[in-house]
Amino acid sequence: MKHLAKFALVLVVLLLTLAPLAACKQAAPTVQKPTVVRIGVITDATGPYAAIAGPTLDAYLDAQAYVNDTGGIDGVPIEVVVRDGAGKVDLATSMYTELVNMSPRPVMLNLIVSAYAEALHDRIAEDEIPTLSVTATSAIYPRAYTFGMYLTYADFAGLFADWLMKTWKGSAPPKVAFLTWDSTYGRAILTQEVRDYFKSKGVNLVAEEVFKMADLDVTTQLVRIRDKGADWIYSNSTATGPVVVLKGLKQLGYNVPFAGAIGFDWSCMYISTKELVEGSVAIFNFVSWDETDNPGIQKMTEYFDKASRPAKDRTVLYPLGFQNVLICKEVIGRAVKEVGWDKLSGEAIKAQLLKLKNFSALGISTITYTADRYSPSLARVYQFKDGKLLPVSDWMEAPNLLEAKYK
Amino acid sequence: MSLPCGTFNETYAQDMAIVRTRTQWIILVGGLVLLFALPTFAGPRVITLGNLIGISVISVLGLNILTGYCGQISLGQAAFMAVGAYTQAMLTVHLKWPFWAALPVSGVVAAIVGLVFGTPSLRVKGFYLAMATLAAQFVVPWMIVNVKPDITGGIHSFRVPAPALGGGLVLNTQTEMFYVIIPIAVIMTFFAKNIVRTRVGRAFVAIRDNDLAAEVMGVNVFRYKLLAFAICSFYAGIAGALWAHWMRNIAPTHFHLVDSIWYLGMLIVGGIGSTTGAVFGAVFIRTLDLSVSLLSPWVSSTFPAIGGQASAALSPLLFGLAILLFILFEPRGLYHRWEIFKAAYRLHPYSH
Repeated sequence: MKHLAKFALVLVVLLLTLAPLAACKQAAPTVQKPTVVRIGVITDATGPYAAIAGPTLDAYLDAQAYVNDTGGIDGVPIEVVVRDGAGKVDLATSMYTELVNMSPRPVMLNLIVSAYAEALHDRIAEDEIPTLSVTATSAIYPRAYTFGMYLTYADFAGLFADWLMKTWKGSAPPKVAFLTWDSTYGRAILTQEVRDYFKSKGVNLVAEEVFKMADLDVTTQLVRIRDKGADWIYSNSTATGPVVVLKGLKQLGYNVPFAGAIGFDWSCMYISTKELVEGSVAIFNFVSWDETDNPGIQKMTEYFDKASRPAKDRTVLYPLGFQNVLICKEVIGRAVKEVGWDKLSGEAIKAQLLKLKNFSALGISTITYTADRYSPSLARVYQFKDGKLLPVSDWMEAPNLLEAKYK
Repeated sequence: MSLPCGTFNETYAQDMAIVRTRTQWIILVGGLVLLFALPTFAGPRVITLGNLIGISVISVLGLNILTGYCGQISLGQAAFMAVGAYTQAMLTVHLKWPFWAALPVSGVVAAIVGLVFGTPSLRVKGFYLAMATLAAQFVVPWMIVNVKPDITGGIHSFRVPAPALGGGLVLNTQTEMFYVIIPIAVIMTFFAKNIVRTRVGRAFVAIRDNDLAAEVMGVNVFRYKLLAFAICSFYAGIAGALWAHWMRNIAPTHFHLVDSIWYLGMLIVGGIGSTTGAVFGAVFIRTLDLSVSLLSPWVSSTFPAIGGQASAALSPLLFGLAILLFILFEPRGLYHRWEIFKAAYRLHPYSH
């Protein structure tokens, strides 16, 4: 009896001691932070787009270093996992499967080639993995989990029309010819919405010509464009594309200004000469490498030099890659703050992407997404002057030229 | 077929059998069991690669019938795959046909298109025939992009749903697609293996070896050449249809001339004129392709000073080097190596 009383006393003391502890534990469960946050990237380190997409590898690795040097996301370091699609959708699909089945699974994905983004659009939606992608409309729309990392190609063309009408000094309406790549990317500007917008702005779209990515001569197309009396040529092509057009213009002695968006950049100068691109116009949604007083450019340059990157990797996709990592950091961080690490999901990150308004990625670019528009809308016009790309306009809001079927 | 030492064919049935000995049966059944059990122990990347290999095997088997057995070269295999893929997509998306009903029709439509592009084979051969089939690689994508782009999607991608097998069963994942693609690949391998043993197959081989002699013997050369084109394109059509559902998305850029050349490359590397070689070639090239593409991101992150573009060059360099060395040291393909291995195994421990 005496033993039983002693045992009961111990039991009561234990209960009285442990119960509040257990209650405390229930009230504030400790959530383990992950050891790393992964961001998956599928780009073209090899294949036809490698000349321009190659430096994304450098940008993502340098931006990863920058984010981790500045405390990661809520103290958790990020890890960028880069995979090469080599210009083949089947390989990109294989890489995607690997990424989404990785442990820990990347919480966001970046796709640098339109064809991959198009091919993976539905799988991304099913897997609920928020993705930043290059911007062929069919890569982003119908709206799901894919967001544009810059303006859609149609919106870039619309912004070009706006800028042209602002600066046009001729008495007759300007005549513009499209000479673009015969690919999903190139043909993204050949939509009825773009044609209608040009017409509404008073720009006379006189020709729509295409050429293959492998073509080294576009004389035939240029002769047809010359016959139509074009005042400007606008192209949606990258790396060798603009160079082929500019060489053709030089060979023909056809003195007409040339413009391009996003893909027409420093890389074109590296593979030709600065004289060839002099005076041409390019449109980006971020600041130029040559704006050395920009804090974002200074930071990028610091990491670029620290990693001893080759000078020719200073192309358009480097700031873009850097910007993308900063967007990922921002939205993942916001999602963690709102729902916590334990409830971090694709849906929570997507919700934060949709709340992103005028987000300044280190001053490199300004990003806004809305429920209607899954791509940014601010961009600026630059011009090649003595081997540098310098702004010739303020930041401009591009028109929304989304195809009717996606509205 | 060479038989193991001490094994003799005593009946016609034995002479006709593809699988002749108990060991061969054990290897076949064991191999199939292992193949179909692959998703239980292999990771998703391997399964995805397995699906791609399965599709490639079907396409290369078709090319082997045309080029390996009948001796007619074709550079349009990817274009015929495009015909199958777009037919399958249009039937299942626009006309709401079930997957299984649309699949053979896609093969047949591709076969008809193959017949059209095979017609020049009566008058030309060798490089000239290659040029004629090359036309398919330009005409077919052009038609997809420019003729009725509202139906085909034009230059943009055409979204294809995951195949539904009825009863609400939708094959969404790579593993589920594995159990569609691989059985079809196995069945089509069986048919390909058998074709060469038939009257038709023997006519193909006769044409390949000497078309004049074949004609003198009474083989209708034009008919059999066209038949080879039709069978080859049928295989390509089925491969294309499976590709459409596997990718869940098709675009003209998925069926490039480079792909046609690589299907031919797979055949050469594997061993032209052999069903086993076609399988070996597809497995080897696809695996090599995936392996080298993993190299450049690794090099770039390990040696940052090299830079993304320079390190990227390593992958195609290594890929090209592997193919070059292969052709240099084993021009008869992997199949020949396999035959040497089998002979050595049968004769062990005696070398002669």
